Amino acid sequence: MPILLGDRIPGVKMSAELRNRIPSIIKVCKEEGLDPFDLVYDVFPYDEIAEIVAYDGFPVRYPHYKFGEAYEDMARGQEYGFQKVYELVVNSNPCYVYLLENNTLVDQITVVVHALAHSDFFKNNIFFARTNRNMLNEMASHGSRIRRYCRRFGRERVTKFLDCILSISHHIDPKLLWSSKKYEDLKIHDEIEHIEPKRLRVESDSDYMESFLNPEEFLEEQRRKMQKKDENRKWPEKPQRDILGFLMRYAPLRQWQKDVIGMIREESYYFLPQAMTKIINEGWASYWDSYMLSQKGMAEDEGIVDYAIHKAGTLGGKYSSNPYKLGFLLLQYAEECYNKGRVAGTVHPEWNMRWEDCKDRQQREEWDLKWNRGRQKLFEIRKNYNDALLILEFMTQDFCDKYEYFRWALNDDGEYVIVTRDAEKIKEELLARIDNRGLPVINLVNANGMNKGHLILEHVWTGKQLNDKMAELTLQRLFRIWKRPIAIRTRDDDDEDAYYVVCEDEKELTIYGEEEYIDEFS
Amino acid sequence: MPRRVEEDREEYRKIIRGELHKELKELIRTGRLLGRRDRKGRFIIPIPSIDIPNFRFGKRESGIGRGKGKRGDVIGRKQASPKDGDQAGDQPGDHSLVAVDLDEVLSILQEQLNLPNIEPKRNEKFTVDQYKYTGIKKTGPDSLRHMRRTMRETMLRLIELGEYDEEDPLLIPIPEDMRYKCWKIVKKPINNAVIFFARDYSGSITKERREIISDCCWWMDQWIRKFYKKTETVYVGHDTEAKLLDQEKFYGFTSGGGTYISSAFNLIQEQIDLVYDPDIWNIYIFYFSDLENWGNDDKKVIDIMTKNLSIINLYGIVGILSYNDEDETLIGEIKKEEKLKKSARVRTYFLRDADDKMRIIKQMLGRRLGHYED
Repeated sequence: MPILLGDRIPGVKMSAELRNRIPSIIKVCKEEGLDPFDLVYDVFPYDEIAEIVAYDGFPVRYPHYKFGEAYEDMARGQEYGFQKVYELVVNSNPCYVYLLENNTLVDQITVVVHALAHSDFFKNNIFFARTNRNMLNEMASHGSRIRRYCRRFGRERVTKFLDCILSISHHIDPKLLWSSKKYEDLKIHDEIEHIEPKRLRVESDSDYMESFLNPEEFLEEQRRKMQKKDENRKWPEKPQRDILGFLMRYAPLRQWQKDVIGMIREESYYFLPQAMTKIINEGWASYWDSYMLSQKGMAEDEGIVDYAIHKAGTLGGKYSSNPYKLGFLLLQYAEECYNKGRVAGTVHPEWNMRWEDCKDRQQREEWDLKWNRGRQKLFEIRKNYNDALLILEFMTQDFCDKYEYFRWALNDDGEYVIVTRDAEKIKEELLARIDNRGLPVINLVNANGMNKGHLILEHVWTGKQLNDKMAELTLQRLFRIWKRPIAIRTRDDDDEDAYYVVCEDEKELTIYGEEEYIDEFS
Repeated sequence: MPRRVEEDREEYRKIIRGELHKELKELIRTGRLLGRRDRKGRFIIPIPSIDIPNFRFGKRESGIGRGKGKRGDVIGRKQASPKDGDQAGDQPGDHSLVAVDLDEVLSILQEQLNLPNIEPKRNEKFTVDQYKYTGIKKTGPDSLRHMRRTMRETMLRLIELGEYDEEDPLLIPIPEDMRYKCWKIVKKPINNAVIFFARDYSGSITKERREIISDCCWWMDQWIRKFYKKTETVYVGHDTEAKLLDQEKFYGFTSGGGTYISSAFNLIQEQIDLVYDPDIWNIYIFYFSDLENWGNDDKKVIDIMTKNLSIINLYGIVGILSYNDEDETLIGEIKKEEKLKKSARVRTYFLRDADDKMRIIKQMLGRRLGHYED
């Protein structure tokens, strides 16, 4: 049974009508196969919702002005009337759903279904398998710890350090999402170990075999090799993508600072799956609310117009590529494909032709094998896919043509121009934005660069240049954490040669070519 | 429920305010500030976005969208929204727009220029009556009935009689319970100001000079206005003759012709005599010119100024980008005159560099260093 709150704030009430309908709505959804966590529904006025949204759903988080800014933006958005938040769902067990008061009944019902589908997604999608379902408590604990540090060391000092960490907060390793080794220690090679090469042994008392089994010159060679390897050993041995984790362990910081890094890192890991599944998650929720309201008749006759308005608000907009809409359309398209058997590799029994070979427009339109496996496929998608996988598989030329997607670019006159409608090109653009949340991938390759403790980062080149100004500011902040020079190896759009940007103190940055850098510091 | 976000919001505003200080100085100096107001009359000030820096890519120059159109169709322009939902906001060097109301801007101006609060003339002769509700009495009109006190009396009476029932606290006041607010008349000194802005509109006042004048007038007007209940402004322009102008003309109008500064001061004198009784009005006079006066006219101005010094709150004489030597203009003459030189009510400033225009305001309304007689 869901828990219904909504009398806790004076003057804010969940209407009796809604209160009575929620249990039956949930029942119908579960019959359709949705499997959410236990739900807690609560009603709030706009400014409270805005506050919760500003804190990403956790009103108990650590103090930082960025939440104040987010709140201010929301407040302004409401003032000018271009922003509306209908609901907010938190990935936790039980699942908290915050509803906005004064929504119409149909809005509320939509939102109840929508939120339920989100919760189902959180519970069942594989990318969320390892997320902490008790994050609310965890966040509260982070909040109180950081507040304590604020009291002890001064808020300004803590905020300043938080700023530094937040600058690099997304440098975590997505591979570790499923790993329990998130906290495994890296081996430190701070002294040359005396390693002996392995000797062959035979069960024998006779020592005379020794010089034949393990000839001295061979051993000597092995020893030399190992020594050389040891000298060239890097630290860390493999490039690290989890820069936060590395700094937490090895940066010269005080205990509270390490604790702060640990907390921010944990929150980053918690939010990462949500960033990876934004499109599909919203699509899934929109798919269900539209199915429930328009096809299962929950909106009733007079409500359907309200519902249409609601949907126009969330999914509408000319030229809009809003992720809600993209996800929704992709899922609809996927369902259609699997209902009609329009899947690569399938052979049409009458025409004796594979789907991908069928080029005739008329035939493609008429292709219907009556599979009716659409719903089943959607549940598979909900379980196993993230945004990138969904787009890779279903953003086909058919899809782009049907929904009129295009790719635009800025030309020299400052105009945005449609460049192409080729699905591959559109996909490329979209994936570039989704991959690593559209941010550059940066690896930590050496923490003892030039044997002088330089922290050497490498920008994994994908053909796009870093924003200089922002990189500069970030390097300066990194310097404050590492307290030794920071170097990043990157490239320019037009120039093929890699170069290093080095931050040697908090103010100045210098750019060196690859060899110059080695000359300068070795 | 105390709201946690208020704390963070306050912190954010503190940062914004720090940024504002930096921006505002620049904006006031260049005069760009005045143009941008929102519906509520607040200033729209762009400040550098305070978002947290991270490693990110440079400008995004492509994206995807949806809709009809063929290859090569223009769907938007830079600056004007590119019509792509998630385009805006993540660009480097982005500015966030902050709405600030006039009071906030003025308080920053005050901090920046170290302006003292303006004190009206001490004036006991003319006062206005003000009603202040201070007491309670037993009779009065219903509109002034004090509900809480009345109910309290009822309650007290019922308790005294032993009729008050906690379970069913029904209070019915009878006429003896009624309490009414009563007022006292307080005499307050009159708090009016008139500001005379006078300028030379002879041919030598170019567009650049005009802009400086209009900016300064606007700021001084707003500043003085802050301290008075009622403020009027009078605009005067002159060449060899002075005229009363409306605001628009005052800021825009230029004619040819010569210059008699005394004509403007005579006109102001006339206005004071006819309309603005110095006993009732605080009088501020600001005069802007390049100070290319003709003939022996400076002397006449000095005479008028000296004569009126006791009834005027402030004389401000500003020479703007003049080619003359400071000592040979009206300002030089003022400095020679002992009485005017020593008075804190006479302020002069000789502007040499257009970038210094905020100095005018500081000089006119700021603190005076050294010893001056009032």
